[in-house]
Order: sequence, then structure tokens, then C-alpha cells
Amino acid sequence: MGGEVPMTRHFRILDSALDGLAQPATLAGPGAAHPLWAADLEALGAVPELGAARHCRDIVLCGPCASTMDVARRLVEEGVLAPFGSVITPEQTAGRGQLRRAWLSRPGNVLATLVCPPADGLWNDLRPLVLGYLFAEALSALGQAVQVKWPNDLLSGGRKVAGILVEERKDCVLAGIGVNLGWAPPAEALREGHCVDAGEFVPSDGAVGPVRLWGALVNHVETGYRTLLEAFSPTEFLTIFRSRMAWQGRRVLVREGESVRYEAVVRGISAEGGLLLDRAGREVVLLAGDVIPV
Amino acid sequence: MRAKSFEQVLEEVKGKPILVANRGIPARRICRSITEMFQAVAVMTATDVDKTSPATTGAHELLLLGEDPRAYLDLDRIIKMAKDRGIVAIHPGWGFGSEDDSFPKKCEEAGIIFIGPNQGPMRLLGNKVAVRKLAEEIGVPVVPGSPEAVSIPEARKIAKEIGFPIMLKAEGGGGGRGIYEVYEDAQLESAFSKASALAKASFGNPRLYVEKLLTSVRHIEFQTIADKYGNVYVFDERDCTVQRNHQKLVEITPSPWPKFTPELRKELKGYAEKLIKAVGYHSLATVEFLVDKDGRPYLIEVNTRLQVEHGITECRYGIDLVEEQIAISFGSKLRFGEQNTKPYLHAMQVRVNCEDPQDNFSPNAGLITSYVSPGGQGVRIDSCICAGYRFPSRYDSAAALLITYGNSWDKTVMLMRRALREYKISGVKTTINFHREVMKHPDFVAGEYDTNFVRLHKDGLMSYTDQEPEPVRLARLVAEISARGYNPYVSLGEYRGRADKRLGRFQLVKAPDTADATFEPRITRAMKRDAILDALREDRAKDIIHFCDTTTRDITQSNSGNRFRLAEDRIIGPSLDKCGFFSLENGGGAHFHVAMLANMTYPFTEAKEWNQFAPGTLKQILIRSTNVLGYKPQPKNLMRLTGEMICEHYDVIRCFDFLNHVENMRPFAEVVLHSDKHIFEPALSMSWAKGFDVPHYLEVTDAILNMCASVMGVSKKKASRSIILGLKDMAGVCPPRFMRELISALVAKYPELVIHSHRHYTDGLFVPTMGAAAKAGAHIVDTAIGSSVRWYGQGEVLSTAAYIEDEMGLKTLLDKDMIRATNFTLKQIMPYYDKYCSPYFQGIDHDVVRHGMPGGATSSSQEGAMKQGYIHLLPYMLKFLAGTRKIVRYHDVTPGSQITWNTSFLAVTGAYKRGGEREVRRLLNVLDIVNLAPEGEFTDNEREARLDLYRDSNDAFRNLLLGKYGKLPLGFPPDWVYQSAFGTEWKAAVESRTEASPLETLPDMDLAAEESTLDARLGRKATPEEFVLYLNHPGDALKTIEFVETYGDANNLPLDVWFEGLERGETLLFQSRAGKPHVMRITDISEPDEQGCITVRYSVDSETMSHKVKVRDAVGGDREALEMADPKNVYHIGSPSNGDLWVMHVRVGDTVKKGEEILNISIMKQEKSVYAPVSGVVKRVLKNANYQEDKIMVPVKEGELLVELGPAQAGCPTCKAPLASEDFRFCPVCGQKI
Repeated sequence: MGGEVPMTRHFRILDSALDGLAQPATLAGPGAAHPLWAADLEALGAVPELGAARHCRDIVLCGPCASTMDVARRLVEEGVLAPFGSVITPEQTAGRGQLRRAWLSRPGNVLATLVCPPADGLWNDLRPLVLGYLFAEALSALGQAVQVKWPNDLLSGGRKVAGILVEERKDCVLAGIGVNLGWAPPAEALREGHCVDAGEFVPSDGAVGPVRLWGALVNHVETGYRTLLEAFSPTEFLTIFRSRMAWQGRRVLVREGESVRYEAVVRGISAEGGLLLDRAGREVVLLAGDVIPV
Repeated sequence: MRAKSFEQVLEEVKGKPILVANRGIPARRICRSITEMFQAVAVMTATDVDKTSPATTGAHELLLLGEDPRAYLDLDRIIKMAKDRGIVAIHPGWGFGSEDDSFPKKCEEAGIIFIGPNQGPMRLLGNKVAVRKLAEEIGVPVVPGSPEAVSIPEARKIAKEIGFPIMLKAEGGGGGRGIYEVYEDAQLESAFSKASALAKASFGNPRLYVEKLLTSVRHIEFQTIADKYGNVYVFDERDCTVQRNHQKLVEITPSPWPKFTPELRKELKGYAEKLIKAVGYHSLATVEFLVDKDGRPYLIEVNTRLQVEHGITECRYGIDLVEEQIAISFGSKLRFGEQNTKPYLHAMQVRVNCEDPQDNFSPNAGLITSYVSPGGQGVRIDSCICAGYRFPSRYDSAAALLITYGNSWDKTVMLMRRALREYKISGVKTTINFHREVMKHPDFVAGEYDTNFVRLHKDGLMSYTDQEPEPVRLARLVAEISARGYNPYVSLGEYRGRADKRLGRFQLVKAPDTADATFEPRITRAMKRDAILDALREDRAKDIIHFCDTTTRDITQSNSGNRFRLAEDRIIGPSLDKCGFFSLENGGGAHFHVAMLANMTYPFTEAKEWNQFAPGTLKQILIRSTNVLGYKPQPKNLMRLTGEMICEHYDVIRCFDFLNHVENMRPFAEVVLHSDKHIFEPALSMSWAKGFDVPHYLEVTDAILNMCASVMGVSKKKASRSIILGLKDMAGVCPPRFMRELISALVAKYPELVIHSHRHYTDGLFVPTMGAAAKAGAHIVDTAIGSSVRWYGQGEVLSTAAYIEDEMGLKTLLDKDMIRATNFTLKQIMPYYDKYCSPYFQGIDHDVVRHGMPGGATSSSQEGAMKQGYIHLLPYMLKFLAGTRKIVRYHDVTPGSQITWNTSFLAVTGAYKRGGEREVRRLLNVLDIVNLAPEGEFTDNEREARLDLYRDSNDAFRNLLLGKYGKLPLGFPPDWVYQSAFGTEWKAAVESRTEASPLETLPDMDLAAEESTLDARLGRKATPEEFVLYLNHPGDALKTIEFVETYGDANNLPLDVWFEGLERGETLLFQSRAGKPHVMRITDISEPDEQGCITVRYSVDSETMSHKVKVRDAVGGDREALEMADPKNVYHIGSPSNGDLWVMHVRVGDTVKKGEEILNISIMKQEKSVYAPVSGVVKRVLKNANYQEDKIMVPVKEGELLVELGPAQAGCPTCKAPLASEDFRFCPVCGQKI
């Protein structure tokens, strides 16, 4: 499985509209939306159309859409995209984060969805952490160091620079990723009680825009994913995850549901991937819920 | 320093406090030595979790470390506290700080003796690279490889020298962690970088070294002990080859491996001694080797502490290593030497851990509900648990170290098998069962295995079933019944509460022994069919009438809802067997189904047992032609399969068809008539009405004889000699004069045909009718034992016999004293059934001759009407019954009686909904007219009005009209009935009518597919009986199979306990399946707690237990009270994992399609959609969430029941009325097409 060398990955334009989901993309359209797109498209040269591609791992550039999650799902259902295929858009009208929260963005940021391969057992449960870790590794390789706030918020310099949402439906697992490349929402625009302020991710190559950054990220993540599953057990992965984990030893406020709130200290990761907390000397494992630094 | 004697040390230490900086098993073990010879004060560290644990009982004092569970690692704090307390010495145990080489140094600085080595030697021997270097210097063989951490090119060079496979080991690793196997050069590069990355992440040190990977090795280690004066003693080897992922599971001394020679032992002991001496080490140490299959040893590491498996060395030598270790640390001279220390026993230790081997040895924590430790000679146990202890999840999973020792390896193995049999731990899963399998494995016993043993034999070692003993399981059932006050498995609802007065304990008083020793039964199971039939004919010629007893089937089916159990059969069966009955009807009909539905018994196992406790008398069963033992026509191959199993246990097979469609009986006739032992008894279903007269029944008899003759390939005359003809008046409606007329005609026409008359008591004319039947020529009549006779079953045996003898002048061959004795016993049993299982309406109902509702249906149908609020319509329903029976003609026998009842119920309630009682009266008026006036005299209005009669009928009725159950006995009803029942589609209905047997069109069942479905469901191979039960009644068969697996054979519980449970303070004596006596005593039954659970505390055979029984919904929101989804129930939708429910899409009553998203769970930001597993209707929604609206997420637990669906057919989509059968096409209430 992991031994095979991934085939070359292409960029493709989603040339026809997906009814109700996305407008057709044109090379001019996204370019007009933001100079970074324009620079990327120019650097990429001629981008072929999606046409009758089947079961591919390519990066599909779509026009403005409600959410790349819905576009990607349709493309998976239609047999166009295979695992590690992805969709990127310059603009979303109904971008969503966890629990249908709004994901605030502007053209110039990465707004993409990656089709995830199916995984067995614990690997399936750990997927959010795996993606968090791999994207953090990939971002760190391309710019400033990024850490993962459990389970998969990506922080740099204490600010959230990227977010991930995983949706598992039937046999189709999608990861939506937003990276604040050109713009980060100001604190007052974020929902009340947000965990951490937003910040921008600055790539080492300042000229790189969302499309090329995404291309590099997907390549990193795919290679990392194959290596990880081939070489390590889930338990070993958790050890590795700890090395990129933010807020260890930090005192946080834990919110479980609406009514349960308590303070605890972040200790690490439990064997099933939960957040290990020390609540007044008692060990607590958090599988759902949120933590805010105190 | 001058060496002290052991006695001097004893003197010095006596009364002084010694601390064990540890917990659990090692802490308890070490405290034992501290308090024995030394008589010192044993002090043990304990965190809050541990401060009341069983392990602390061995300590005089505790050094409390507070709430942080990791406090055992805080050496500075422990030393400071120890100093404050005046501790003179600290023993580190194993694990925690025991291998931290700063510990001895810190103790020294604090002026406390460290019971272990000094820092220097400890550090040297504890470092794998250093010890390897040392070993090479002094000539101890090591595993070939790099002396220290290497780069990739160096690794490649070394690999070339030593050859693949190799291991890359993390310098900072240990205990089996941080090892990567590389099998070929091509893998080296990538494996190296990965291993290095992981080593850095895991141990903070990326450095790796290379070692040859040894593929087949034994793990052999040597216990050494040394004093501070250079004296070293090396004990015999411990063989720790049975491992899992480098974790030891079984340890043995001496090694049972045939290749382990005295020479090899001597060689390895020499290496161990050299190593210890080379570093000036004192205290205990273990030198570990791998030995390959050619006997080549390789040093792997040295452990500088007391080890978990030290106990087997103590047993081999009869010594106390911890005592010696303590003495040495105080300066004592080593007391062990070649002269005075000799091995003389074999010993083995198994590690009993709270782990589930079948789930990859996953640790589990929780309440130990019962604990029985093994004992006796040759057994040593070091445990840290007891009953009632909540095993913590925080620490390692070791629960006990079980050692056996004896003078040979075989004895040691047999001892261990016995000890493991005795060892009982409930509440958590342990490795006990796994070890039992290890002890049985021939390779293990032969000593021929390597460190891959567990991995290679995984399937065999894990194939045990983890089931508690039956008395424990049965006692849990009693606890459940006692907590509720009623038995939920009887399926009678909440028929009593805990506070209700009880009938009292069932304490059987045996009847005086009145058995007539000279009594010889006329007919026995030893006889063949023809001999039995000849005997019946001979007897009848001498005016002797025989009796079939229905006490344990039909009587209790009609009067006790079939709840009569095998338990009570066991009591009265042996005496029924001696009463001189022709046969005992003990199976069939609804009894078969209810055995599984409510009595939780396998019906064929029950039948088999009957033939053991009542071996003499013939056993009789009732079969419903095509439906066999179920409620709808069965495919022919299933009929045959069931028929064969029936023939294994029953002698007389009575078979009826409610339409008297004789062809429906053919498959059964084929099974039974081909045996010369079994008697086939086809029965006439009987009504007493116009058209159902003597000529009609003679015609049916003719058809039966023709069918039997064709099956047997003989003449009709011969067939009439080879069967019994049953006369089945199920409703109890045929009067004496009719039976006299019919039987006289049958006798005249078929003089050699044996006739068996069966009827019910409902009309009150049982005795005179049976008298008339007997007088007219019947050979056998059905009766039951007096104390069981009520209203709806058969009549009483002795009164019927008296009437037959005294009034009719005939004779019987009954042992009446035995019947009286049986009756006395039964009198003590019946009150329980009367109290809890009696029909709602009781009493004789002579109107049965008009309405025809048979037996128990008389009450149950009418009770149904009452419960649905239609009691005021009941007189009309009965009148409708009387009328409709004259229009659509068949017999009121199962399932016909149900169809008639439903038709009447629906017609009357339908009319009532349309226009109240006035409309009902109009309908009945129409019915009267239809039955009184000839067709030609109807007005157009009346023709129109009669179409209302069946407008509300259901699919069962319509199917009957179409001939789907078989041929109607007097032909199809007039066309207007079809017009009424089918409306505009009536012509098509008339067209599609058939008179063929449903068997002709019913395809065979795919038995192989069904069997594999069942096997998969059970997770094992189903027994042949389980398979047949499943095919007949899938749901209830599974329920019973699961019940028996969970609780055992409930027939071992007495009658009162089955219905009422026990009260606080009561004692129950019962027997388990093997006939072993047990005692259970309930000490307390709590009030329901916040979770709605009652805790029952009880003892079983002096073992104390408790069981929580959920009796009502929780009032608080505690997670313990969660209702869990039954993974086997497709209608249960549970949470796929722990997480937050944030959106629930459905509400109660919604119809959902298979695959539709029902809810969504968020776990670690992964949003999981949960889909409807089947189409259905939402019955319950247990948790709701709508995060987008209210920003509230609801925590859910893995497996928690969130939504319960019901079958899609369960209700009418329009009016929501329940639909009784899946094959309804129209709603019986609102007529909505479904």
C-alpha cells in the first residue's frame, strides 16, 4: 500500500456548473478575485479542464460555491474524485466549520476539501488527529512552525491560522481545510467564546498563493499519511502527535455540552486519542467538547 | 565495614519503620517480609485512589501521597516525607522509582537505607549499551550488533556482518518498546528514519543501535543475589518464554524445555555471576538471556531490582528473597551458598491481570463483584484485589500472581490447572480463562515452544467462552425478579409489585405412596404402532375406554396461557406416567411457541427430558397442518425438518387443519406414516352447524383415509387400521347427540378405525358428551387431572371415568389412586398459575355454541375488546360472530377463530365509528336479514346494505376468501361477500381464488443460508434444535437462546421464585443443571436510586454478590443509567462512539427510510452521520439536540441508545393504528391502503 509512489497530481478546472453547488470556474474568475490567485494561475500555466476525469487524485479548482464540502461530496458520489483528490475554491458563500458554525474567509485564503481514504479501527477514530498532525507538519515545512491544538486546530504563535472539519458520511470521509493566508478574521468577528484569536499563516515563499500552497500541502499530507499508516501503530502515532501538540501542561477551561464546565490541566493524549486532562488530580479524558486557555 | 549476621540485623531492625515506595502487589508482598522475621513497622505509600485498597491491609501505616495518581514517581517528596516519619529504609518494589538510579543516591543523602543496589552499579547494569560493552569485555555472549548507537551507513555495515533480519532498537527504549524489525537491506533506510523519528518522539532520544533479530528463542533469566562483601549466589533459571509483545505472561522454574541442559545452566550461571561481580553489585538482580533453538545464549539485559516473577524462585528453594534483600541492605552477610541452598521443587507463575485476552488484552477496570481465590497445597497467591474492590483504571492491570509448585513439572501443571479452575473473579475480565487454555496446550506442557507461542496459537488460546457458573447466573435472575417483584420474562407485564402480598413459598409436600405395585400399563412406549392400535381395538371390543391426559399441554394452554413450566412437569410427570393413560399430551400448539416466548425453555429439550422422567407412557403432540408449530404456512422442507425432530421425541402426532383441507396434512403424514413406531392422528376440525353434519364429516374422513392410503401405498382399509382419527371440537360446541350420531356413523363405515375424541369444556357439557362419544364407539377420550380443570380446557378425568363407567356401563384401565396422588401434587402447584396466569374472563359460557370462540380465546378476545374500550360493544360482537359463521363457512380452530374474531371486531367497531350504536344495530339487523331471507327476496336496499358487513375486514379474512389458507370446507361464500370485502376490486378477487393447497406454491426455504445467518448471530455453531426453533419462531428462539446463555436453565428455580422472586432475608435452595445443590440468600434489596436502579445484595453458596436492576427511568442525568442499544436489534440506533450529539433529525412517529441520516455526532471535530439501518417508524428518541438553534451539544456514550425504530408496518400511516400482521394491505381501522 504505502510502497507505491503516488502518481502525478494535476490541477483541473471544474468547467461546468454543479447545479446549486458551484458556479463554473474560469481562469479569469478566481484570478480576478485576488492577486494571489492570479499569481498562482500564471505560475501554473495552462490548467486543463476536468472533463471526463474518473476516480482521480487531482486538485479541482471550482468557482464560487456554497461550500467545497458539498462540491467534493458530489464529485465523490459521481465517481470523479478518489481519496487524496481535492477541491479548492476562491470563495464560499456558506463556508462551515464544526457544528455548522460559519467559517469566515476572504478570497486569497485556502478554502479546500480533501477526500480522505477510508481507515480501519483506531485509525478511523484518530483521523482528526492524524489530519491535524499532518497539516501541521506540512505547514511547518512550508512556513512558520505550526502546532496542533487538540483535536485539530492549527496554531502558530498562539493564534489559529487554519482549521479542519472532518465529515464522515457513509463511506465518504471529507476533510475541509481553511488556511488564513491573506486575511484572518478579527477577534470581534469571531463567535462569542471562541477559543483563540485568528492569525495569518505566512509561507516562507512569500509569492505562493492559495492554489500552490494547497498543492504543496496535499502532496505533503498524502506522503505523510502513507508513511504514517505503513510504519506506525496508532499508539505510536499518538506519541508522535504529542510532539506537535499545543498547550501541554497549560491550564484550561473545559466545556462539555452546555452545562459542564471545569478547569483542568492538559496532560496529553489518551490511548483512544482523547484529550488527557488533570482535573484536580483526577484523570479525565475528553473526547468531545472544547477547551479554552485560562 | 564488618559483615553483620542475619540475627544482628533482625535485632537492629525490629520495631523500626521501613517504607515501601510502591503500591498494589509489590507493596503488599514486601510488607509481608518486613513484618515477619524483622518484626519491623511496615509503611506503605498510598495515593487517594489506593489508600483503602486491599493491598494496604498488609501495612501498619500509610504514607499518604494525596490525590495525584502519579505521586509514586515523586521521589524527592517521598523521601522527604519518609525522613519526617523517621523511616530507616526504603524498598522501591518494582516499577515506579525502582529503576531510577537517582533513588539510592537520594536515599543516601537523606540518611535512609535504600533496599537495593548502589547508584553506580545500578546505572551501569541498567544501561543496555554499557552492560553490553561490559559483557563483551568479560566474555559474556551478547546478541550480535552494534556496540552503541549508529548511523545508517554503520547500520548497513553491521547488518552485512551479522546478516538480516536485524532489529533497530531505541537507545532510550526498554521493556519491549522502541524495537523495529528489518528483514532486508531495501527496508533499512526508511525503517531507520522512521524508527529514529519515533524514538525521538517517544523517548526524547533519536539514537538507535542495531542487533541481530533472533527469530526463535527462549527467554531464560537468572536470579542473583549479592551482599556487600562480594558474596554472590545465582539461582536456577526462570523460563519466561510465554510472552506477548515482550510482556511476560507465564514464568517457570526450572525450564521445562527439553533442550535446556545442566551444562547450559552451569554456563549461564557463570556468566551471571561474572557480571554481578564485575561491577561490585549488591542486592537482587536478574540477568536475562535469549537462548536460540540450538542452545546458543545471548545476554539481553540486567534488571537491578526485585522482579515480578521472583516468587517462583522462592518456591523452588523454600526461601524469602525480599527478606534476604532487606537484610543485605542493612549489612547482613549473604546466607545462601552452594552448600546450604539447594533447589528441590518446580514452580510456575501465571499473571492474572484485569485484561481481556479476547480483545487484544485490553485492560479493564471496574467493580470486582465476587472473588474466590484458589488454595490448598502447592498454591501461592499474591493479589491486590478482593470482592467489592473497584479496580482502578489508572495503574497497571496486575490483579494477582498465582504460583503453583510441586516436585515435578507435571504436578506443577496439574496444580495450576486445578488452581485456575478454583479461581473465580467476577465483574472484570481477567486472563484466567486464557491461562486455562495455555495450561491445556500440548506444546506448552511438552515445553516445546518459543517466544512466539502466544502469537502462533492465538486462535486456540482465545477460543474459550467466558461464562460464569450456572448458580451465579441463576442467582442473578432471581435478583432481577426479586428487585422488580415480577418476572419480566413471563411476558405478562407488571403483574405484581414488590409490596404485593405473595402466595408464599412453594414447598412441595409429597403424596403418600399409594402406587399399586401390581399395576401394569396396557400401552407403553416400548410397543410399536400396530400393536398399540390392535390393543385399542381389542379393548374397545371389551368396552374398555382409554384416556389421553392433557394436563401439561391443552388444559394449561387454555387456562394458564401456556405458562406451565418444565419445572412443574418434572414434578408431576413421573406420577402422570404411572396413571395408566393411553398418552400424555405434553407438546405442540401454542405451547411450543410459549416455551420460548415466556418459559425460556427449548421445547425439544423439554420433550426429551419428558421421556426421561416419564419413560413409560406415549407422548402426544398437536400440529397445525401447514403451519406446523407456527402461525402461517411453512415451506415443505421446513415442515419435514421440524417433523423429523418432532418424531424424535413424540409418539402420537395429532394433526389438524382448520379448513379440513386434507392435502395440507400430507407432508406431515409422509414423515410420520413411514415409521412403524409413530402414530399419525389426523383430526377433524369440528363445528356444529348447518352443513357441518354427519355426511360432511364422513366425506372428510374419507379424504383423510385416501390421503393416508396414498402416502402409505396401501388400501384405504389398511390405512384405516394404521391411524387414529382425531375428533377435534376445539370450541366445545358439539352436543352429546351429535357426537353419538357421528361416531356411530364412523364406526359403521370404518369398523377398524380407532377414534380419539377431543373437546373443550366451554359449553359445560363435557362429561355427557364424552360419555356419549365413548358409548358410541370412541376408543380414547381426552381429559385432565382434576385440580387443573377450569372452564376452557378439557374436563376432569375421574368424573368422566365415573360417568363412562357408572352411567354408560363401560370400563377404564386407570390407576385411580395414582391419579389422586398426582392430583394432590398438582393442587399445590396450581394456585401459582391461577394467581398469575388465569384468563381475565372465567367461567362456563354455553353461548359458545352460537359464537364459537374456542377455549382460551373466549376470554382473551373479549378481554382485548374490553382493554380497547369496547366492552359495551361486546354483546354485538358476539352476535356478529354467530351471524358471520353462517355466511363464511370454516371451523373455529386456530387460526380460523382469530380470523372470525377480528372480522367481527372490525365490523362492529367500524360501524360504531361511523354511526354509534345505532349503526351497529343496523349492521346486525342486516346480518340477520342476510341469514334469514333467501337470496331472491332481498330488496335493492338490502343488497346494498349487506356490503357493509365486511367493508372493515382485514387481509387475513380477505386471504381466507381467496383460498390462500386452503380450500374452504363448504366452498366459497356468495359473490356479495367479495363485493363487500374487496370493494371495486371484487371481480379480480373472485378471479384469483384458488382451491389448491398453499404448500403447492410455497417455495422451499434456503436452509443453508438461514443456518449461517443464525450461526453468525450467535457467534458459534447453532445446535440442530436451536436451528429448528429459529426457523419456526426466529425472534423468540433468539430470545431464549440468549436467556439460557445469560442465566442458565430457569426450570431449576422453584415456582414461587419464578413468579415472585425472593424477599429480603429469604433463602432459596436450588439445584444447578448438574444436580448440585446451591443456596442463595438475599441480604438486601435497596430502594431505587437516582438512576432508577435497585441494588440487590445476596450471597450464593456463601459468596457475596450484588446486582443492579434498572426498574425505572433515571431521575438524574447520570451516565451509568444509560440505556444501551442492543447491537443485535436492527431497530436500535446507538451512538457510534463517545462524543457530542449536536443534531437529531427525527421525531417520534416519523417514518424513516433505510439509509436516511438520523443524527450527527461530533467527536474530536469529526462529524459522524448516523443513518437508519432499516426503514421504519421512529418509536423513541432518547436524546435530542439542535445545536444550530440552541448551541447545546449533548454528550453521548458509545453504544448508548439514541433512537429506537419500529417496523414500518407497525402502524397505519394515516390513522397510526397498529397493524397486526405484516401482510396487511389495508389498514383495518381507517381502510388506508398500505
